[in-house]
Amino acid sequence: MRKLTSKTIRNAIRDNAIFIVVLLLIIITAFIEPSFITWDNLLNILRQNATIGIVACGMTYCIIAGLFDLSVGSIVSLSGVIVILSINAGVPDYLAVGYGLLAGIAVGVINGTLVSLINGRSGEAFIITYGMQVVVAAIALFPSNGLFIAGRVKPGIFMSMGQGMTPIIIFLSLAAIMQFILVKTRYGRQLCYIGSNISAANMSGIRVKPNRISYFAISGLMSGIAAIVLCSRVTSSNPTAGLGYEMDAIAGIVVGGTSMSGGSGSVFRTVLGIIIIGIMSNALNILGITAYHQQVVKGLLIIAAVSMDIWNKRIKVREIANEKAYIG
Amino acid sequence: MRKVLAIVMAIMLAAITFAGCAKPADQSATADAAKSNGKKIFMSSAYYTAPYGAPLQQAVKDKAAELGYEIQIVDGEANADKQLSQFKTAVADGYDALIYWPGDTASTPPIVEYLNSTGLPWVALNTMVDDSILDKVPCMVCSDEVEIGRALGRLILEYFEKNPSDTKNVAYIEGSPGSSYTTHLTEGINEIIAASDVVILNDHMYSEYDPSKAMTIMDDLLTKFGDKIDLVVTQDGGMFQGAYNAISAAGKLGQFGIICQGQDLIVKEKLESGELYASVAQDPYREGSLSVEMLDKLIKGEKVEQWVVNPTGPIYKADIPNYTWF
Amino acid sequence: MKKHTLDKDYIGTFLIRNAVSMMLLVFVVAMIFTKRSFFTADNIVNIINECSVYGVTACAMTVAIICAEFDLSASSVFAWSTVLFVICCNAFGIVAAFFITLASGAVMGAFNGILVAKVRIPAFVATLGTMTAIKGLAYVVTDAQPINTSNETLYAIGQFNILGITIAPIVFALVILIFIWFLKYTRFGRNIYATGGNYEVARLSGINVEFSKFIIFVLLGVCAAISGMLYCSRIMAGWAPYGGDLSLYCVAATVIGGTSLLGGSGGVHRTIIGVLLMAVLFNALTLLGVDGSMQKFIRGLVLITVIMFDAMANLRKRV
Repeated sequence: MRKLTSKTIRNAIRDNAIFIVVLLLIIITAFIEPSFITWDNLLNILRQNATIGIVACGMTYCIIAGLFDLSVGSIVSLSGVIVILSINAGVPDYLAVGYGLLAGIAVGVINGTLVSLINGRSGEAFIITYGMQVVVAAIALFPSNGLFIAGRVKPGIFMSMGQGMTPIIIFLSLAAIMQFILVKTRYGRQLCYIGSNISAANMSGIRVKPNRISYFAISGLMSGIAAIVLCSRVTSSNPTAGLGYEMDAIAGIVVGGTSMSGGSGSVFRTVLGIIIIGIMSNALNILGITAYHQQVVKGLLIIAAVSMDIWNKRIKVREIANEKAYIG
Repeated sequence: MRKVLAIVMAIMLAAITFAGCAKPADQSATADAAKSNGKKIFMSSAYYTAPYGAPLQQAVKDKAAELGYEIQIVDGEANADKQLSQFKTAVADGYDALIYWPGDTASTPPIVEYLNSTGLPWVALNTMVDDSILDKVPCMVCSDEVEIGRALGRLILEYFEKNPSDTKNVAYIEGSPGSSYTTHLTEGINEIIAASDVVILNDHMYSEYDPSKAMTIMDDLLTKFGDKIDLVVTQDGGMFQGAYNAISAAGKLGQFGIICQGQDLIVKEKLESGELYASVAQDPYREGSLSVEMLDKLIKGEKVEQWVVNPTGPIYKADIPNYTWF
Repeated sequence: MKKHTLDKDYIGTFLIRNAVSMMLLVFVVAMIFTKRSFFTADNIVNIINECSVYGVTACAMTVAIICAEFDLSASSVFAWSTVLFVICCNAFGIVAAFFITLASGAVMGAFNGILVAKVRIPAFVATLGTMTAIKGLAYVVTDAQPINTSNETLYAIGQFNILGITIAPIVFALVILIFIWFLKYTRFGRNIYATGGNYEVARLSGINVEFSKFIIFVLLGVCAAISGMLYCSRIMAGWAPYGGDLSLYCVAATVIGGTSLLGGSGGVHRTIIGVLLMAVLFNALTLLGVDGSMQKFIRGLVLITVIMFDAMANLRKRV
């Protein structure tokens, strides 16, 4: 029976450092602005971050595999442009949505093929997806000529994807599905193997190339879905909509605790990371802290939270080592 | 395997070179078709990809083609050093005239100085140059951004006159911190409403001209202030789109008025339906055309005004046919 | 990371191993024949002047990458340096401003260094946090407005040139030489290679790995500050959004140059090729009269092609 010693309390605090930091923020904000702690606001937060959340979940597979996908932002822009243009041209909703998703998957497959052709690791994936980001962003600008296009949407599948609870449901169910695949299926386990040691994975018979292409394809697909939710929410498409998404997605993944060097990770943690950053932004907005002050606070919070997390892990390892030394 | 890759590489390289060389051929064709006068104009846009930039640049291209000039527009990416370098390249390449769309006001002096030193005719477009060198610019074609702000301010006062209420609370969404447009608009508004009892509820909220961010901000403003809001003011049409969606999603359409600046199609639509009280003009087509017109005059050696102001003014539902919408 | 050597003739091997340099050569030659104005003194000087400002930081980024670390905050330190430099020039004069800005770059780099080396936060996270915070700081201090200076000494420095070459390429060349010397001939330099190649092995063989990881960030901070000051000398202004693409630019230049992101190999001399390739490309596209969005498209394509070419040339046999 574990006694409630100061040691266990200290451990508990360090274990959940990041949550405690966020909890403090929530309490302080709720005290100053009661409207922060309403059900409506919570739903708002989830809704506002559903788009970036979906993108981050998609990117998680790539990160676990030890790869990068920097093109997600541009894919969001491109898919959005394609969907809205299709709808404005009179194409039925489900087809327009299909085109957008297809575009995302196509770019993802191209990414994956290029990286696989050269047996690339993180570095090559970085540059290739960076190049694709520039290319796809340019493509997204062509049809719309840079203008943001208001969508002539009618009530239907497309319209409902961005309203009410739907974005939240889409976000959370996609995350749940991806987490399930990651943890419970052979495909998911292979993903972790490939991420930790790619040569070993190859030698043990896993078909590395097709698998890696699929990670990029999934990332592209998720970006496409995110684009549809986004465009439905604002009933318009902005050809630079996805600018900066890749950084925000990585921020979410990283705050969630997934390692950047690959091999392990969790979609669930990514969701947590995104929500935490979302809560931070919302709290600071509601407190009326101006955008640029917000940046300083956010940056320091990320560092503080992750610092405590890492420090905690080191102390744990040391404690275990000490105990072992004592016993041994 | 290696051979396949080599062929793929060769194809890609060929495609790139072809794409690069195809473009200038395209452009000279359009000039040839009209009455080409053999002169080339080079433009460096700081905000090439901005929503306002697209119609602006289209107008520049159209007017240039009409007057018989060849034109090339490059993306300055709001990077002053890059724009300086682009101009140097253009001068080395023998361009006859230049258009400069600055990214920010503070970095304009060295570039203006360089442009003047080349001896070529040039105009500044859209962003105002630094006060210290205002008189060194041959011609500046841009709106009086403070005046746009004042027009918004006057509309605010007018709205409250026509819709009297106990409180005069305004929720105000701005563009980008540091954008001169954003700052000047706010300056103009504050100038007009200073003496009245109109209250702007929130501190600066920046949507960076992104409809999606504007929607998020509007969501948060509704959460924080809810029924206290009497009027919503946004700095452009894109922000209006985002704010409108947020208000409609919260079911609060019709509870308060909205005023914005912009000539976007969505603005026109909501003006017609009455959901938008009024808008303020800033016509990118006009601005773009004017710049080439002025440049043309400079090339021919005619005198032009130093600051050619892109006219502005309130737009009501009745005024819709008088303006171009995009 | 052993590269697969070919056992063919020396020239063939040389060509493949230096694929990127060869591409640069091909490109330059193609441009000379396509556009007369490319090979003029004016244009070449322009290219060299422009790439030098960012180039200084690219060198430091290469060192960091050799040590298997990243730094996303370089762009923010750059922006902050432009802001701080302008403020200090206006308040204290250029000499004081120079030292203050340099020091602030070092301090910010040191902060990153402590986070990564001591607290052992992954570089990505640490520098993501500092990038956000420092950029915010730059906004706060200037109230988001761009600021400029009319300091005459700074202006004179910016205008100073020998046959058109301004101070930036001179500084760039100096920095390159210092880094090459540092990496090749000093113990610290060799330690960085070792640390990047295999952290555990380096640590166990007695190398002060913590110091290696720490110093690379300080170098980055200092170089970003220098880049910022060079930028100021050219445009006499400072603003928070400046240099937003600096970090990715430096990583791209390094990787194109042939330094592996996994660490332990490569060098600053390779990054020069990367910097030059990108500079020549951007210049060529403008000269060819290519329109803005098409330029971006082509730039992305070339980036991809270059890396694929290089990887293909050094194709790893194993997966």
